[in-house]
Amino acid sequence: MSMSHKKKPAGRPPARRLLDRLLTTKTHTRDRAYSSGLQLTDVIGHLAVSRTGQVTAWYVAAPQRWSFRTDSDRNWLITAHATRLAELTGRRIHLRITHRPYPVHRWAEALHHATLDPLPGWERYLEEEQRKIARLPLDDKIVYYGVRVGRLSSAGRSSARLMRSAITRESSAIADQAGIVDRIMAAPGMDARPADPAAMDWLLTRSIGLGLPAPVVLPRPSGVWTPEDIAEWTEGIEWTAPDPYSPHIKVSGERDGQRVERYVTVTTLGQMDLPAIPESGYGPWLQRLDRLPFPAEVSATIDVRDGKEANREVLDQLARVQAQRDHHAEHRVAEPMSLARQGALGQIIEDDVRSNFSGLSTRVQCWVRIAVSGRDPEETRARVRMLTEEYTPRVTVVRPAGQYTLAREFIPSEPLAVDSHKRRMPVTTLAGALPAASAEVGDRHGPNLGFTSGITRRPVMWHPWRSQEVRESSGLTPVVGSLGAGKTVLCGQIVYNTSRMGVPWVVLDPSGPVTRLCSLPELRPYSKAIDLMRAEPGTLNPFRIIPDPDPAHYRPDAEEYRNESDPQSAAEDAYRSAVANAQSQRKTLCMDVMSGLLRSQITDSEMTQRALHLAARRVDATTHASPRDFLTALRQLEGSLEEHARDIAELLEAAAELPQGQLIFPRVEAGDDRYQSAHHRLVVMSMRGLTLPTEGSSRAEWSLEEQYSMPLLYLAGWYAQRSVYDRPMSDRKGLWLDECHEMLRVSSGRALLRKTGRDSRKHNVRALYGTQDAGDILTADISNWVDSVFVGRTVGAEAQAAALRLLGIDPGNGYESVLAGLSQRTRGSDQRRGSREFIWSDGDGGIERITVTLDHRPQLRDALDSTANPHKRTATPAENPYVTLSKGGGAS
Amino acid sequence: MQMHTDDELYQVDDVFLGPRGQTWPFRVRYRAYAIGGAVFGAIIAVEMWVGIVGLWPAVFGLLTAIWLTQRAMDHVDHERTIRSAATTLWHEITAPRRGRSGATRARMSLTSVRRTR
Repeated sequence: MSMSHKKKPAGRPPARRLLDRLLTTKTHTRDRAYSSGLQLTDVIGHLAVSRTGQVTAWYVAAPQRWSFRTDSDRNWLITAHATRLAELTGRRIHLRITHRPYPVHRWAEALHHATLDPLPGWERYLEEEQRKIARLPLDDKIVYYGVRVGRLSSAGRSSARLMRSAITRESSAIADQAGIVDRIMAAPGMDARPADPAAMDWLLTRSIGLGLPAPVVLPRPSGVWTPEDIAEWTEGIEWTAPDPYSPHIKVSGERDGQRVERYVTVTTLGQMDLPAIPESGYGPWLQRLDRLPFPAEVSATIDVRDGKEANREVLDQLARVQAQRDHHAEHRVAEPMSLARQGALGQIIEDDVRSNFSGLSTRVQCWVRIAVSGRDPEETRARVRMLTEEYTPRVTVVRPAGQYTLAREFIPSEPLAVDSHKRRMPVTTLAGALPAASAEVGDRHGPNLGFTSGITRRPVMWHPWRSQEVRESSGLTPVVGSLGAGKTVLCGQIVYNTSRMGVPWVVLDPSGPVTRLCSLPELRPYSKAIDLMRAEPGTLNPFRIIPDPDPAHYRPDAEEYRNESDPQSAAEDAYRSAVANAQSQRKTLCMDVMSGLLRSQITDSEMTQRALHLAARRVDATTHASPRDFLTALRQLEGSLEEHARDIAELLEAAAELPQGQLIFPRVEAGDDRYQSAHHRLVVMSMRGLTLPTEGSSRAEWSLEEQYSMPLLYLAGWYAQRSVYDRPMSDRKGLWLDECHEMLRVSSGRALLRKTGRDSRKHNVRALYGTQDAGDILTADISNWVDSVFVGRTVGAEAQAAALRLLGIDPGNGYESVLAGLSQRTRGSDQRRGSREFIWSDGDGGIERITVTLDHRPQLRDALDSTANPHKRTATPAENPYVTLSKGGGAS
Repeated sequence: MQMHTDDELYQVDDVFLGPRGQTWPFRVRYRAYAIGGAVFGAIIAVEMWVGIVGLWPAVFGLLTAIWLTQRAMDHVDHERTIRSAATTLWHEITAPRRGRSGATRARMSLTSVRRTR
């Protein structure tokens, strides 16, 4: 018989199965050919039955976010967890933590399936990425709770056939208890759901094959296992203790057709001296295991004690202490100081247990075992050492004797091996272990971004279109950080990876370094770098860059109109409204551009504003209009504004003659240039030579160049954004707008970012907004469309507070210093920072610190390196003119 | 939130200083007296069973009992009770192992399959 499990038909509901199984246990015994040596005999749904009739209900706890929460949130979480544990008074709980490896090839498979029409060389790209990711652990922690719900008496089981009513009563009492425990486990603080057949299968596979590699393929399990089925699990698995008092046991078994051996050592947690959690920053004490570079298995047996019983035991201990004190006094011998301390502690505990009715004074006793495994005894020893160092000096890690029976504790329904190393504590201290605390962020479907660099070091993946396609959320991602925070590196990497996936991107990079992406060999044939400053006159015509809505996007059978009473008229109304909006935006944009081309003293006058508004009203705002039509409208104004309007028109005419102005004012109507964004996978628009105003300077101080640069910037933003509408609505698209803080200064810039955010879900766009100040994003009223946020190194109290708000973290909880400490350079170091750190909120509840590194792609790293490097220009360094001087001063 | 444990309360050293008015120069835990007494009784019983009776065998038995008790107490502390030490010893004796030659000396594993009929 092999390790593979038998396939069974789909099961009926567990409660019914439980009754059936219990009633038929005796009749099936005769047919049973095999039995395991385990205590576990039956599994029905999430209930496990032991030989002694103990029924344990198993649950899987949902991961709990711990990082970047306020201390009050974390304290609430611990208290809620403690309350749930206290509600299980009188029960024994078996906590099991195991891992489900996520093979790198499975990630590559998921990414491949999530990719449509990739660029040539995709297979090689996947292979390179797999090699990079394989260096880090990629597995999921699974936290199981097994709660005893009752015991089936052997008399009742034996007499099942004779007294059907007796067993029915017994099983219905257990079902009632299981229902109560189900409700407690599902409540906040525990958030655990009954283990499904797959979860039970995984628990048994990992427990019986303790320390062995996880099987790659598991058959689909059914909901009911008989003793014969359980025996199949144990077949071929051997546990042996090499020598008496050996520090490990040897577990061998078959995995995917090969015989595998592992050396497993079971340690137990001894004396604890834990600091305040979370205030000390120590973190949940069982979550520390996540810091280890290898997966460790945990089995903790927990007895939640009845208050009276716990109090009686405390009183007994107090009596022992008092007896010893009296004995020392009787002999006139100085008593040890520990006796006085123990007496005081006993009184505090006794008072706490007696007078605290919140449930948080409930006492527990527990035995916490941690198993580590290795390919050979040396590796296992080294891992035990790492485990011990992780807990030193707060918790003692002990390796007890009797390794074989200790290891058996990891198997569900096995009894506690030995009573030693019992820990007694209030339920709040046990809740401080918070085993389900997790550092999960991102998904398992997208390209790799880097790795987490908070508590653990694990690969981070992100599929930028999963939010729109699966979660039905928007696709706006601000990338915030001070100068040098690494925004270009991060966004460039996202663009590079997803371009290779075949997703078209349009990038607006005013300063220009990102155009180097287009020269990478793998992207060169499919990309186009456009310098907008050298583009055809009229390229940035404000009337042309806001396209009319596509009627194809307003079909009556679309999802949003389908449920209307008259889908046809609803779709037509929506289309008309969108056309009117586009016309209104063109007028606003044209007004903003004209205002921007004038000196601030002129723009700020009431007459100018009135004249511009009136001219905008009169101009035909179709895509075929031109700013010259606007000048004509100005010249045709009559009445009190006539003279002023003509002067403004003259000034604007003069501006139109300048090279920057020519980009806005077409000489003749330009042809359609939209083939560029529609036919290239990557289009990078730059504006080399554009001189943007200094941050914080007032408009009156701007030079003429700086003044003209602002309208050009947000016109370029609109020009880039237009590409979103060039491709079919449901196709994945990307838009990266850098220097967004400049665009957010004017209303049409803010409107651009709002419009992109609003359309991101419908048009399946991932929009990356690079900005230096998160405050701009918050004040621009686009927070509603923000899906995920990257925050790099941020300095300045106001900027830090805004960045935290954008991440959804309340400022004032000490995370400001974390933002300032991201991508920190070592003082005096001449090395450039190879990698950059960000705080990433993934839009799906995960927030973690991540590190983005491009070390495995040096060409991409060099292309995205925007740090000044004078050596880049010269291919060969000049000969060193310096000579080493000898002691005498002569050249040697 | 403070993370206290109750462990210290359960680490009381129950030492016997001597009878009232007579303080002995050594401090020994009550449980050591219990183990020592049992060991001494067992040694005397064995001696009597093999026919060695007298003062010197009794003295030898006492010294042996003290030595054995000291060794046993190395495995008994606040974390490990006498019972758990004995249980662990039993577990070590009965744990399945493979012979040095590779042949099975004891039962391979309690988790392996066995026929029930």
